[in-house]
Amino acid sequence: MDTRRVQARDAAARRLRRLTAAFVAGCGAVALLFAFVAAKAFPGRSQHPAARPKAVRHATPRRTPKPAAQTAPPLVQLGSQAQPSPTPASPSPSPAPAPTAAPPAVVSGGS
Amino acid sequence: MSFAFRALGTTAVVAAVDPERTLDAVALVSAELAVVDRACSRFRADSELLSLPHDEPAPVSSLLADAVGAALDAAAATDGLVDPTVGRTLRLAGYDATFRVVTSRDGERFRARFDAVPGWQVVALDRDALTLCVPGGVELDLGATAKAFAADRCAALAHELLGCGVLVGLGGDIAVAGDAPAGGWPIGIADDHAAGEVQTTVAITTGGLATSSTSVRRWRSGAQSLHHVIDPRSGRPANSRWRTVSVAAGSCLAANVASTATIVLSDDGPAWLEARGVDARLVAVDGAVVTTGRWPVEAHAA
Repeated sequence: MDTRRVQARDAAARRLRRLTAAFVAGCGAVALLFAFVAAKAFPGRSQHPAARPKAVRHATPRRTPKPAAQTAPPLVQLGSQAQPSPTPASPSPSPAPAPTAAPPAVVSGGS
Repeated sequence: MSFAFRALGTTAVVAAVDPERTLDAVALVSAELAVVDRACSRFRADSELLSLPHDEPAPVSSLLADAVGAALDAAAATDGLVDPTVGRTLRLAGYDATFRVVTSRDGERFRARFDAVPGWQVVALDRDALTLCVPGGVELDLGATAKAFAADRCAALAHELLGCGVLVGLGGDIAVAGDAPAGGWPIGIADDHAAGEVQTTVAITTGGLATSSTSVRRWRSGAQSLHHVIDPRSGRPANSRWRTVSVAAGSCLAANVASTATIVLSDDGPAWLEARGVDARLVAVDGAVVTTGRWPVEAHAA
């Protein structure tokens, strides 16, 4: 009688250990799953030391953020051929306007 | 394929070499123009330009700093023939609201006044610190350069983001970026961009083409007929031999600056253009046509 009770107790203890191990393993798997989902949902960005913000030189200026790919507005370089100018020259002369019989895509006129 | 819509008080036209990207280009340009208008408008009470204090360096957005910088560069490059400090005399002359409002006024009863132009040198722009100091009594008008500046900016932006050739037209100011279609972008030349009376058509592949004209944006002051191209030397609308000047250059801004300066210079305009190698087409008040540089000579050109 006592032997059967001891065996039953031991069997119950083994089941409990298995259940506990399964529970812990399940928790780990769920944690890994959530970590994977979070990593995909919020991709990180690497930051190079040179790109880190430097000390603020001016306390108040507001800056309007520009699109990353936007080029700087052109400087005023008069003329299409290489000429002395008070502003930096463009690297190469622009092509001359050419006569065309094509219908205009747009009209340039006073506005 | 091109699309037209209203922006900056004029007609905006957007075209792309890749027809499937045209609507994307329109969306980009439209959004960018809204930002430019918010920063630079002289007629919006909430614009950054009108919100600036006077007599002290004020922080400005990089966009307004760029726009004012372009205007000051234009003034420097033309020895003040195209000057952003004409705002006060332009307002006193009657151009003190959107042009629709100006033309709806009773011109017979209106009396224009004029004032000396203080000169662009009084404006202090720190492009690194992004601060702008405008002395008291000085009013900036970016109208002579802002549309061309915006056209260049929008064309470059759309080309960079969409990866195809783009044309942006703002009234008479046209900028192109990226690869042009075969044969170039055909552009009609007219006194009024909206009137549809094209006098000639030329093709450009890079840069920009701009037209300035005294035939449009005119209003009355009693018996006088006034226009918006101010001669900074007199503070009054330019009394020019030319009614319309079109210029092709490396950028729309450069083209616009040269066309406006030529109208102000009047008789001295062609020599000024030739000395700088500018490709231009000038239409005199009597309709005679003169070309400079490599602008295609027309059969009836004088």
